[in-house]
Amino acid sequence: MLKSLNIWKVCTIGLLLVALLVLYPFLSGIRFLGVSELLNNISFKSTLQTTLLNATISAIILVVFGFWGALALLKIPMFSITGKNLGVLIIPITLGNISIAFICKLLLGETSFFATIAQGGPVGKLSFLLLLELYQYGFLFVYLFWMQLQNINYDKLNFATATRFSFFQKLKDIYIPHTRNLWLLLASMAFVFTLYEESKIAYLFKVSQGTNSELITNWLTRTYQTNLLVSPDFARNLIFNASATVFVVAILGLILLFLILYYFIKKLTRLKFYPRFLRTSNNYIFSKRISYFFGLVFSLTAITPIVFSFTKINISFNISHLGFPLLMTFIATVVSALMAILLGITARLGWKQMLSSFSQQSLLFFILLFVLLLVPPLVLLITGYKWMSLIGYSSFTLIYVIWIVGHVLLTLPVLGSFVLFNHFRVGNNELDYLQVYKLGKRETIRYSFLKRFKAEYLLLFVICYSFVWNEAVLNNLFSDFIPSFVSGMKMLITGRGVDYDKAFGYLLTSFAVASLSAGIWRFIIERAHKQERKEL
Amino acid sequence: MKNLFYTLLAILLVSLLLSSCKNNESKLTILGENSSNIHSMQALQLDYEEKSGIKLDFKSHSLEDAFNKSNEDFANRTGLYDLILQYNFSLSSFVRNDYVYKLSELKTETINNNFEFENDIFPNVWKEVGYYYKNPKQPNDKEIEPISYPFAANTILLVYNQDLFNDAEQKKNFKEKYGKELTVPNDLKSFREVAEFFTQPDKDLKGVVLQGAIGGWLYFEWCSFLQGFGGKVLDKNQGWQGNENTPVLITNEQAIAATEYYKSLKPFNAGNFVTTDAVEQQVILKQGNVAMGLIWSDYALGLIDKGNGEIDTRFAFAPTPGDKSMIAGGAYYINKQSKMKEEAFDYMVYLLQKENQVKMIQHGLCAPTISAYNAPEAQKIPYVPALKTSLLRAEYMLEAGPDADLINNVITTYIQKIWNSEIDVKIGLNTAKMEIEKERTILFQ
Repeated sequence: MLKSLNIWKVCTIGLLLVALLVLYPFLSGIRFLGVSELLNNISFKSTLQTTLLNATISAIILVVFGFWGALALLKIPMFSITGKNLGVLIIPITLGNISIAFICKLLLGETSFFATIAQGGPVGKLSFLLLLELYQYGFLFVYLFWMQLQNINYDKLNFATATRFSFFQKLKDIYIPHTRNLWLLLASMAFVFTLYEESKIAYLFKVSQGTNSELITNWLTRTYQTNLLVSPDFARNLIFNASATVFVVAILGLILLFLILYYFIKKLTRLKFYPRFLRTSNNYIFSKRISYFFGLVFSLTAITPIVFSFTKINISFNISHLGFPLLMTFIATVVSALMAILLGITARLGWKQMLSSFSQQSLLFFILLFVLLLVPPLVLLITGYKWMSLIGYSSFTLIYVIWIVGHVLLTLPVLGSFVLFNHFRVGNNELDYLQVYKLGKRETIRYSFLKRFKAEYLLLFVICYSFVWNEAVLNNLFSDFIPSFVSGMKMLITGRGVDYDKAFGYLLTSFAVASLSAGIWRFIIERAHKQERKEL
Repeated sequence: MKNLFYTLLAILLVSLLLSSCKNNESKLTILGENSSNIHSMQALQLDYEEKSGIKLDFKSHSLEDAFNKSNEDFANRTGLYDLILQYNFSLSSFVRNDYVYKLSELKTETINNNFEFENDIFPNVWKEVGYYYKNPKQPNDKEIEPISYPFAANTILLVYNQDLFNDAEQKKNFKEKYGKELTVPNDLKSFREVAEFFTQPDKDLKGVVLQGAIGGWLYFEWCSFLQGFGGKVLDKNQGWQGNENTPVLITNEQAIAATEYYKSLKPFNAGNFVTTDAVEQQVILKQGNVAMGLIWSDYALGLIDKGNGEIDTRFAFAPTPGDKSMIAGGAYYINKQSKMKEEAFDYMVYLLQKENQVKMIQHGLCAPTISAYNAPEAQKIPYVPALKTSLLRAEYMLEAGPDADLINNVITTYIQKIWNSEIDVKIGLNTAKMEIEKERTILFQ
């Protein structure tokens, strides 16, 4: 078994190495010349500071919102009608950055509220961006926390009720410890997503140095464009150096955020302090009625902007050319989801102790997994061009295969860590038990993973589809061969060829993908419910 | 589960096989910004394909994507695009890096000898968007040559709302207030008067909508006013000229006056300024409660086209206030990695023929040839007469060297700060000048 476990390690390391190989042109292009000059560049330094601060604050707010939102929904059972329909909360994330920015522009672009923010300072703009992110990621986080809270052991809850735990006690001793891993996972994801935010703020507020509102991705893009007029090599060298600095700072920022949250949760949950004023029962704080009220409010907030956007524009429906990318997205999704599941299984089996939960020991593994996401997107685009110049565009088959492989690598950090997080539920005792009984690899995978996490894998598939569909870097790189939704939308809402009616036709595709995702997820839950009733 | 997996695998393989069936027909791949210029080329696609037997494959993208893709294709020598449509700021980089064929190289290898259309191209426009130093390594202002032909000749136009200008009550009130008739402004003084007059909060009217957004919008517009005051950004005669020692002129009297004038329009301005680009300006203008705006000529069709084949007759066009207009536009570039250079050159020549230019101008092209504007079909287009007048009087105003984007960004930064009263006009321009002087040195090394 020990030997076979090494195979898992080799598989995992192999997958990670392939992911890291993508960065070769970037890593080999870093010269570290002029780094000190760069750090003395006021605009770079202040933009990086603002971006880091914004990402850290946003990540914390998003994850706190997700957790408290889930607590507000706690009394809604998973298989109640409302519970089954809470899947609409995943719709905003499936829309993607550019669609959300466009909807926001349609709905709020002409209001005095928007004008005040647009003409105001960076704090207002970043706060507005946070609101958009709460919509985009916050509802998904609420839903994930809520699903996680649904899995709390009944005995534990009954004990807490029988011994009249206060809300604070439940929070400290049950809810937070039970969701600890999810806190860390979602905070890390939120940090990365907000760190490299570009399109929403650029499209809505035309961020600039003049208004002190640039984020680091905007700075990098602008600097790259400026230097391209000298030569692409000159631009690439400068941007690789700047990006290397950003990359290192991003890793340090992520580690810091992870450790702060890790120790905060550890300290909080070990606290032996039960103040008198916090002894209110949670029945009074989040009653059933309040839960249903919040369920309704969250669901309506998730879908209302989409519904209202229909009233703002005439639709010009000409999206026939999106059929092919939809098919390719499906193929890439299948492959990416399978690879993420494979990584999740091999890593869990390969590092049984280390990857049994989020800890200081597993931090290095997750940082490695997140490396691709911590590289500025512009660098991925440039390295993508570089790789394609080496591989060549000689055959369509090759291009399609590379496109699919690219998506596998880009989605691996988020999807892989999501799968791994779910696999924490496969206990070490269980794995030891299977080992003692000499169960084969196939059986172990089938019984401990595939059968148990069927629903989670399907949710993964749904989320993966929207990630691939809304991905901006790789899709842009290959947009001449596989029409890209994001590039197409960008082309129709900015510049000389702007056509809001056509753009809305594009947006409809995004709505359809989002609705279909929510519908599929609703179907999966319904089936799980039937299965459960059958078993009972 | 197994069946599902095999079905998915089958779909994958079949779709990859189907899509990888390569077509061996001759094909020209054309890269450009999604704009009326490329749309006008697409309007002639069938005609050209029939005549030549060559398939045209247009790759339209946003400005940023088209710019990045062309540069990366050139730098990596991947030869994805045969013909590239790029604006004048790319000219210097493309020639210095030896990415594109020069006209002299192309002409010697073609059997096509009919270049009469060259006399028809606006000479000032061609020189600004299609010429460069013969020897880029040792630039000499007296030794220049045509690199390519322009695909579009752009400039900034004054657009005004005719409904407001023709309103009897407004005319009467204007005469009472200023003691003269309400007319379309042709100088900067009257432009401000009209902007001030139409700023009527009780009627929810504003005088002007200015473009204050990053991405060149503010810089181009500010330059238009600077031109009205007789100023320049750098001391030279063409956008692509100059070196690290070319004097920066943005702290002189004209620049200060132009900036103070620009800021004085703030009370009369509609929109959020710093978020207003050409697209947002169009949206505001279409709402009908703004009297004037300065718009790029290649956005004019988008403003008046209702999308159903009808023209929005509320809007009319005139040259910008003052006696000069600015030149912009772009040229066709043939990739040195292209295997279809003769075909690409023939296609360029085809597009520049008079009858084709007339057809294209009706599809939104800001044609680079003079005769296209004289055609009766073209004259019917509301902005064409103003565009022709503007192009005939147009001069260099916008930077197009390797420092073009740097200058654009620095000026945008400081004018935005000046507009928001974060910094005084003189201090702002001085700081901008110092920053430009410091940072442009590196770009010329």
